[in-house]
Amino acid sequence: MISKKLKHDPYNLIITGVGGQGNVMSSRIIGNMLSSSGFYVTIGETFGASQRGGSVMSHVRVSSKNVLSPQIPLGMAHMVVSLEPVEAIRVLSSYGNPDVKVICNTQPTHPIGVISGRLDYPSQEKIEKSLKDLSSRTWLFNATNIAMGIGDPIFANIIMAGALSAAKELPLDKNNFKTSMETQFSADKIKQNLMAFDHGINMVNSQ
Amino acid sequence: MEKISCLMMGNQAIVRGAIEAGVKVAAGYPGTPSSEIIDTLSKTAPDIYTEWSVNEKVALEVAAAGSFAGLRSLAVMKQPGVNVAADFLMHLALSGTRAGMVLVAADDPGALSSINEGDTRLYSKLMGIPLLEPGNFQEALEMTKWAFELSEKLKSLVILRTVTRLSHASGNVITGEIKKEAKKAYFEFNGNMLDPLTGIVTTIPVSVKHSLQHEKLQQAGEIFESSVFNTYVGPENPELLIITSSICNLYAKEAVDVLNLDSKVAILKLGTTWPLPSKLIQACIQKTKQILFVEEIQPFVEENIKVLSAGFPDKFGPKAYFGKLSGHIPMTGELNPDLVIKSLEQIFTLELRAFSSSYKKKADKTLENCTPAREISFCPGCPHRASFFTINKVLKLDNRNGFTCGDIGCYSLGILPGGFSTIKTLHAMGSGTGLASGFGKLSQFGMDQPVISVCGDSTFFHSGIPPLVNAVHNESNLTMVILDNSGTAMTGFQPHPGLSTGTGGEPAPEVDIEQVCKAMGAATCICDPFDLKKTENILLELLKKKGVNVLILRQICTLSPEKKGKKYFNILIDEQKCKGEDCGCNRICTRIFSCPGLIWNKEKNKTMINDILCTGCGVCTQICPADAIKAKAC
Amino acid sequence: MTLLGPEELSQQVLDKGLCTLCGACANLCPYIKAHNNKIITLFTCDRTQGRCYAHCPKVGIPLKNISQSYKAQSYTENPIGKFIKIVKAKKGRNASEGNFQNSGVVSSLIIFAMEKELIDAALLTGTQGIKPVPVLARDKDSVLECAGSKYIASPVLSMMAEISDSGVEKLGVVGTPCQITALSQMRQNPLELDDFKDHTTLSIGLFCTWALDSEKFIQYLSKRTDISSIQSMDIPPPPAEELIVKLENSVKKFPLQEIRKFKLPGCEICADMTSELSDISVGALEGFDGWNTLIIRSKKGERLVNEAVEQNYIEIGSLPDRCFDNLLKGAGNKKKQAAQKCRELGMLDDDFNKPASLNGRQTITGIA
Ligand SMILES: Cc1cc2nc3c(=O)[nH]c(=O)nc-3n(C[C@H](O)[C@H](O)[C@H](O)COP(=O)(O)OP(=O)(O)OC[C@H]3O[C@@H](n4cnc5c(N)ncnc54)[C@H](O)[C@@H]3O)c2cc1C
Ligand code: SF4
Ligand code: SF4
Ligand code: SF4
Ligand code: SF4
Repeated sequence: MISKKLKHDPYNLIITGVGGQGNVMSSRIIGNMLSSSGFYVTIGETFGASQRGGSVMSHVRVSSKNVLSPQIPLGMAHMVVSLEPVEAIRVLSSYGNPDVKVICNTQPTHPIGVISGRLDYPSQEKIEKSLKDLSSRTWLFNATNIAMGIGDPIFANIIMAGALSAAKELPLDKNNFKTSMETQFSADKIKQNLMAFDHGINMVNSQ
Repeated sequence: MEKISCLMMGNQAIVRGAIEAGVKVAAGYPGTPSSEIIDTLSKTAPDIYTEWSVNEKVALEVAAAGSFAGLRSLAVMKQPGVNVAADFLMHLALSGTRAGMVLVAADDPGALSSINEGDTRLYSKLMGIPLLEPGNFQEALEMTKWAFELSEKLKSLVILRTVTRLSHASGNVITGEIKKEAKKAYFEFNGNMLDPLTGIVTTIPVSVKHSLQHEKLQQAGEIFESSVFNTYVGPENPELLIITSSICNLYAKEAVDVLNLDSKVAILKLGTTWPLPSKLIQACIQKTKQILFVEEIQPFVEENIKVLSAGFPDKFGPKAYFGKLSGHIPMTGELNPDLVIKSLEQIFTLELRAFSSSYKKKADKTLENCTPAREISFCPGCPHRASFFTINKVLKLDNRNGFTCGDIGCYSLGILPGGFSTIKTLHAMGSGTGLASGFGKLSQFGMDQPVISVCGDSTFFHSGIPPLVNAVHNESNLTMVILDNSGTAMTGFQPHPGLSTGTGGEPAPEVDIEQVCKAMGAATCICDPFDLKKTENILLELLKKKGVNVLILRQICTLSPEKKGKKYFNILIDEQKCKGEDCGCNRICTRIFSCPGLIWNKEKNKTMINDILCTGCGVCTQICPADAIKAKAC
Repeated sequence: MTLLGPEELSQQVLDKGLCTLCGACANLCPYIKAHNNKIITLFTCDRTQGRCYAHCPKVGIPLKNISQSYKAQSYTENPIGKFIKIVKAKKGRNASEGNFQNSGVVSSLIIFAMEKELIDAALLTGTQGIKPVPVLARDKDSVLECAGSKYIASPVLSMMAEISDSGVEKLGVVGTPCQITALSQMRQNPLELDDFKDHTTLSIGLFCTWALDSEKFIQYLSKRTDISSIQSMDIPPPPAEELIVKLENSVKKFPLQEIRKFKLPGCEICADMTSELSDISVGALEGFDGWNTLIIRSKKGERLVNEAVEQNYIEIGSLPDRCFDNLLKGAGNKKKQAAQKCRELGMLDDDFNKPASLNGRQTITGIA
């Protein structure tokens, strides 16, 4: 029943961000879209204490063959989608490799150490340069600002999902998304979500 | 007919398994990573009686009542909860059960969201309870379903041990039929005293019941010999046999794949780990000369197979055993594919897996220069930050080296700098107050430090009441601060007896914490922790008072469904007034109070508000010495 | 003096128990507070220079420099400091009656200064129960309520921050020598802050050899008497050697050698007996009950005293030679003993006033 082929099998996607940004939601949406296309999907994530402002990361693994370990081996990510720029770098240092691709929200969330002034938050330029250095392809845009425009920073998750679909790394498309939304949300919510998804597509297509 | 697979979290698969098995009664106490099981049942299965019990022991008792009355029942808790339930658990193991009863225990290897790293499997052995360990999502469903049958057959409780990486991970699951069967609950007790289905339910006579329990275990062992949940995959005569259980089997598989060792390494995945299927293990071990145990927390399978080997020396023969005891697998912390890869590389003396080392070097350097550590802390607008700020301040003002004893909840973060390092002891639920009760009696040995205990609202009911009673009756001196954020915030806002909503959101009679404390004879008052000055004054007075005082600091959690997104105030900074790092402030708001809703602008030497994160609680306005933070009512 | 910060203040003064509770470091910011007659550090401040340190009279005070820069006079080697005139004095017949310590010269001068509008208000020391507390007196009655010496140290200057926000433009301050020293340092605006304003227009310093630690002293008293009925306390000049406590219906006497056990260790390094940096200093007068010793140090002080004498608020007379000699001897001894103690504590060493290493204490380290 799988009609589409994966670029890599298994395909290892990491979605990262900061506790409270709605990471879990992103990984679920993307996971559901792929699973309903017939792939084996394994999502590894933790929540609980780590939610309280800490770094969070979901491993989404896609295969046409079998169930996989919920943890990606080090250095073996194909794509990193990050809701926070510094978190993207953190993930790359463990799971990155020269071929990895990155889609990253540029809106920083300052850790307590930065707020308290004891640690420095890197400049936008430094982040961009680092991400480009550590990946084969990078898409950067401020998804939080766009999401605020739609009405809630939480839409950043959907924007990132849209962007991921446009990066054409995984067999994801808008119809896919629409179907999966329809099973979960009411009509007005779906409209906002589709708008967010489109924004994500545009951000990638314009870069 | 093709079966549709859907993406399910491990915990959801367990729920589905229980529903398919026709479970009728489910009880638990919230605790990561187990909470979603009762949450999901309460939301999706209205015909099942689902309950958030006051604590794990009571949950196990409530579930057992279901079983005794002929209904399949489920008890759910995280590992430390099993410790709480252990007293009843031991009795239940001996008395036996009637309708199928399963205890789902969620262990947390690596203590990802716990403050200890216990292994429930040892309870199985200690108390003689059959044990199952699902190794993937599909098994989580099927094993749960089968566990009820097994329990019914043996008339014994069955433990299903899951781990965080299974419970909170998601994978494809094919669901089965739901068993729909109306059952009338009835507790039969008039039969022969020793008849398990019609007599009284108890552990006495112990000699009879204990030997009966051993017969059940033996029977379980025989059933396990042919269980489909024990699988052998790999060459007939492998160079190495990996024996593993739980989610670790996926790490083992991944490691073998990554290193292309499929032709040399076989994997025996055990789903039934107590009692161990002895014959199956003997047969598999005979195929190889080297064995690697891959499991998390305790070397449970490893040690017990070694014990087994001593009983069958001719079958086992001389083997090389690798695992935790040989140092090939770490003794503590959780596993992952990389740790298994590493031990395989060691055993096969392979070269370490080649990373692009220049990439790794570059990445590590960037990590060092570019990624400020992200410590966990209280959320923006969290009432606990305000509470700990005041507790910390009051203890300093009091000037007698007073200290705070804590326990488990979001407020455990009070042990970290983000909570001003206020908590000085941190153990089990309710233990802060128990310790405080003890400290408060040490004045006869010259101790004159005042002691505060902090305890959440849910924790108060769970195990905060007995130590408070103890303190009152023994005339201890302490101030118990109940951090009442109106819900079990840490685990996702499950209701508790202090609230007027029940497990499924229905109205429920609330047990008033204040009245409970007063009835015990503790001097009790309530304050809003967002009112810093008032809280400070009350607490300063309480510390001077002898006896047992209770201060309820009541303010709803910012993340709670009722509060989320609602601001009390719009917050603005008057840059003209902000002193920044100048003498007279040195930015107490960002440097010390450190609410994530604030931003420190180094260039401008000013504090700013992060409009996305600030929840408008207004507490920082009370902390600013320059009146530079303004709150406008929304 | 090297200008340092709160960490050094803690290490050099507070942690060593050398604080004499002048209050000059307290309530300037959210970190250091005066509470219950103690200086308390609530949270760590990591500034390397701060007013807390700069104001403190217990850290390397170059008496010389202060008197030069602030009063544009050179410091004399005289143990009672630079002065214009020294006399004996007592309350005049136009001044109000009150429960004065000696003859009420301090209270009378303050009231006179208020009436002459030289000051709008005065920072004095009243009591709350048995404990002294800073009081901002804005009228005669509140000045009279503060009459009498409290031998327990009180953080008078902790009220300065509040006063500077209260609209008082011309402030009089009465304090012990350490408080007057700290006040002088405060008035120099050591951090050169733009928004600094000096509201003080008159300082009256008391003579002082030591003050008591509130906690230990109150504990001692409460074991021996009902402290709620204490009306006042007096230490008559030598050779009396006793503390006289007036209770509601009786008088209790305690041997001074017992009481001295509770004196603040920081008083032992204090080199100033007569509040050398004040406009006017006032003390008891040995052998002449009902009189005070009065030292006029500044022109402003001189003018105030002259007018107060003219208008019969105070009465003055010449100081007997024997009293003057004793005063010099007493003040000289205090200097000698303080210098000795400072030397013992290493406070005169070259590297004493060096910045402390912060050891990351001020930062959040966290659990990974
Ligand atoms: C702690 C202490 C020790 C003293 N030691 C000596 C000494 O050794 N030799 C000596 O000659 N004189 C000493 N004095 C001064 C003496 O007791 C009288 O205060 C002084 O002679 C003025 O008398 P008066 O009648 O004019 O005071 P009053 O008119 O009664 O006025 C007393 C003033 O003292 C102030 N005051 C009271 N207690 C304190 C305090 N704890 N801190 C700051 N200000 C306070 C009050 O605000 C009040 O305005 C000491 C005073 C104090 C407070
Ligand atoms: S009002 Fe202040 S303390 Fe409250 S959330 Fe906003 S920034 Fe944080
Ligand atoms: S506390 Fe007030 S004055 Fe100090 S940095 Fe924050 S906003 Fe500025
Ligand atoms: S340096 Fe300034 S802000 Fe810091 S403690 Fe001292 S007085 Fe307060
Ligand atoms: S002597 Fe004064 S300035 Fe120094 S620490 Fe004590 S109260 Fe603060």
